Amino acid sequence: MTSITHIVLHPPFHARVQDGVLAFDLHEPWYRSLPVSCLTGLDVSGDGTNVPAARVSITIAGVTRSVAACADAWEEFWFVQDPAVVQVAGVDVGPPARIGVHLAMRIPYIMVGPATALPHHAIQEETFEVTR
Amino acid sequence: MKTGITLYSATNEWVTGTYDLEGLLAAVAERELGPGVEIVGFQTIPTFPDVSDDFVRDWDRLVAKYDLVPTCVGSNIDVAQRSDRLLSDDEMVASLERQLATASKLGFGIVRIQIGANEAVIERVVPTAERLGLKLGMELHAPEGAHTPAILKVRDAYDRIDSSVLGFIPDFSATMRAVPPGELADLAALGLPSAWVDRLVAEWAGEGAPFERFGRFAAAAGAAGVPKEAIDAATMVFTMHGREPVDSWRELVGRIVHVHGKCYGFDEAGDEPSIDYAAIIGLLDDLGYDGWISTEWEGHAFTGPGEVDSLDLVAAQQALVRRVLTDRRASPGGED
Repeated sequence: MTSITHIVLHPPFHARVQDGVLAFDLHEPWYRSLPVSCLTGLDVSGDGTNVPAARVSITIAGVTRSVAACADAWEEFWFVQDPAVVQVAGVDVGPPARIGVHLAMRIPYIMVGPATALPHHAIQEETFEVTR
Repeated sequence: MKTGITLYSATNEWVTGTYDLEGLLAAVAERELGPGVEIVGFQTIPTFPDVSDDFVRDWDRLVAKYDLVPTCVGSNIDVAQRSDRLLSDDEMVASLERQLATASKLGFGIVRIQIGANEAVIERVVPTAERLGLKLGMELHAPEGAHTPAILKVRDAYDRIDSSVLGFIPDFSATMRAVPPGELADLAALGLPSAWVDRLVAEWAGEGAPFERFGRFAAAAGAAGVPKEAIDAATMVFTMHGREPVDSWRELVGRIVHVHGKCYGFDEAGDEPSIDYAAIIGLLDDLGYDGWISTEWEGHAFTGPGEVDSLDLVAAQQALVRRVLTDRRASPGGED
């Protein structure tokens, strides 16, 4: 479906590598800000190779965490206009780099079962210029 | 009836950063799409459900500068905000009260509530709404309508609570006459064959609850090898586009506190193929509704950023509303 709710990588596609860490912007794929705790999964690939979860962290509103740690941040919000920054340690890509993302979220006000919120997935892969 | 816009209409431009808040409000004013301005709290305000003093000052300045009128704040109850459990009623009340306080600080008179706010939560925030002078409008959005079971429960609760602040916000998505052509084109682009587009339309117009109709469609399409992505995307046809009778809004007379003028696209004659504006606006006119109609272009659900100028679609909807009303005034007693 062609919708802003499925777009997590916005042009221009520029990534940065510093001290061996690849960083790129990630946008929230929804029309409103969501609690950080609603980020339920983030898979990253670089030039076609999946990155182990232990090497991925995310910075939202200035706070850097592992993806798993986002689950506890239920009182913080990811403002819909502000990109998060994904950091990937120990990955060797490009340039240019083919970066893929599968972001999973929970839409906390749309219930699809007695205790189940709507799951939402955005999958996107783009070619990035890389600044070192 | 007074016209205005919900800034949600410009979701594509907002999320991609085409506009900041002043840029968007300036565009609304310049293109005369107000004066009413509605927001989704969690979309527009970075610190929602709270609001900073700086934001309030800036908002007041912008509203005065561009001669706009704050109308309605869309609230949400994030019942699944926590990862370990659902929010308790106490937590939902606390969240909603923070959102009401923010709406009041920004000069809004109406807060849109949704079906996620159960009757007990609504009852407990009524005193706060009364104290702040806010109306609470339960949005009647597809797949709900004026007499679907969930809304009948709310209507019973309203009768029992008996507060003048409680009302409804009809959304035209509940009373549609067709699936938006642009959405069908998008589904076709996702790989839905034309015969299955026809089947989808037939199921949408068929018998049964929305999920029954989608289930029939999904089972048949899946068995025929239709791409899963296209089938999944078709869910929205059944959940976002209701077929409640337009006349059902009549049952809410006296309880309508605000209206969402939903639209998706317009044909060359300026009509909305999927929504019978002549009938709906005519009915609201007959009911003597004199509140706000917020134009809500939701074509962004199937139209990517940069494909259209969202404010052009808002302008087209407002032109249609004006034309319907002008036509009625020119021929009173004519078609309605």
